[in-house]
Amino acid sequence: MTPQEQEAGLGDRVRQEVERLLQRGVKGFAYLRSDQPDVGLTPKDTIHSRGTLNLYHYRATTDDLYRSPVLLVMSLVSKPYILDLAPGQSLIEFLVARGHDVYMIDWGEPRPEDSGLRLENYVLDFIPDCIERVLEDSGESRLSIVGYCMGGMLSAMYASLYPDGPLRNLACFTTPFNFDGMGLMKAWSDPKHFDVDRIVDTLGNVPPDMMLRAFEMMRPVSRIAAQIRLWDNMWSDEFVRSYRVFDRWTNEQIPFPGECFRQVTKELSWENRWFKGELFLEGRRVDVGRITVPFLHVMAEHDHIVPYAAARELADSVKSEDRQSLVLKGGHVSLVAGPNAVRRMWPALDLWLAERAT
Amino acid sequence: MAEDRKRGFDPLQGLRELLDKGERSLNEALAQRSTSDRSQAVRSGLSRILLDAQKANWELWGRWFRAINVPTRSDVIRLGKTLSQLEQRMAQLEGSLRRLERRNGAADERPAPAAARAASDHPRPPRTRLPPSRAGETAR
Repeated sequence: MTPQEQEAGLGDRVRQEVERLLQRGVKGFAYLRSDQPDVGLTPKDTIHSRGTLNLYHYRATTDDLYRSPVLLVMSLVSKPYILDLAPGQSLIEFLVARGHDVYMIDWGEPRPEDSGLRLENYVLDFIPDCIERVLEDSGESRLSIVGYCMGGMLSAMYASLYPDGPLRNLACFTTPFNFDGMGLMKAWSDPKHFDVDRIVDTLGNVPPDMMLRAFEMMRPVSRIAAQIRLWDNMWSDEFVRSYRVFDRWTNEQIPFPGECFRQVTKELSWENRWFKGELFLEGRRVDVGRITVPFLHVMAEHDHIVPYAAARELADSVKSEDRQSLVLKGGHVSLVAGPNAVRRMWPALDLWLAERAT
Repeated sequence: MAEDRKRGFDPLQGLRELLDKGERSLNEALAQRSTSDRSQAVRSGLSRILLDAQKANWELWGRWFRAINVPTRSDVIRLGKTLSQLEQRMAQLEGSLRRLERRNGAADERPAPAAARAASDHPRPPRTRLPPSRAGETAR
């Protein structure tokens, strides 16, 4: 590059920075005045409701469908629209457009009277009930399940307890299995200091604020850094749109049913019973070794909520002949939504499900 | 690379890199400190105080509500739990009935949900799509 070219490049750069500075001011003002972005826009019908639970069916947009319906099971602690953020940023929209018949369990926001819900309710009652509804609605005899985070845990527990059930394939994302590998979460819930009984007995459900603070404490500086990055990129509509939907999702945590939280803390985190094969639900041992259906576990390389160490042993512990572990770049959320997810995870999931849909 | 060179000098790039590095190292350092015995003991003590205050507050309000003959928070929660249990029983009964109907063939008399859907506003496409590896075959 000649000195003249360098000078011209520098001039362009300065002009661009000045333009962006002006845009930051104008768009920043518009940002402060604008409403929350709409989320969860993929057209759907509610085919079953029970308490706070809703079972959705997404309307097909293709001329033909794969045979096996796909049931998405969400985590208990976050809103399900992370899988349906916005047009072009929605895993559900993508799967529907690729010919999958998609259903989703939305657990809703537990009310104070739901504080008694335990893993047994989810694994032995709600999930089987929803599966039955999906099969009835679709007219099919078998289905695939995709579980995200704790939803993957509930799905894998279901698959362990119903090995002869209608499950055709099971895909889990960032699903914790070995709770000794849960890093900060494990350290913070140390029984020496963490009085789970006092929390549940006093509050019933664990309030969303408490969950949000815990997640924020894992990366205490990231919130401020994100605000600085937002200001830096305020000139870019695409960045701001994406930031806003993620920010909305991050801030909209939901309460954790109290008894389930107590059970997860004591039996899974403190005693690591699921990993050791010592977890019993209504007297039935939850043994992942009984899973024999095709199994996929997608994990994130930089997941700070469910670290790789907590997730990696799940695929090796199932007895499926057809099983895969996939470690992708990204974090807990960017694995399912975000540019990396769109480029890598979504097509990989689509292909995996499609090849096993008949 | 050529694109980078064309872009030339970016005065803010260094700050951006500094932000990334600073965020990473501060996060690690603070998270590490949060696991120390001392910081956990402080957090635990604080949360105990807050929870006890919350409990005392609810008890106080409960006493007041009872005095003026108004349902307390725990009364409402108890009522909600009873309703949830009823709803659960209903769902179980409904499920059992559906299974019985299917076993007895009674369900044949009314359209199955899948068939009903086909005739509705949002008809469902046929399930004939083949996996990519079998795309050349004809669906059965």
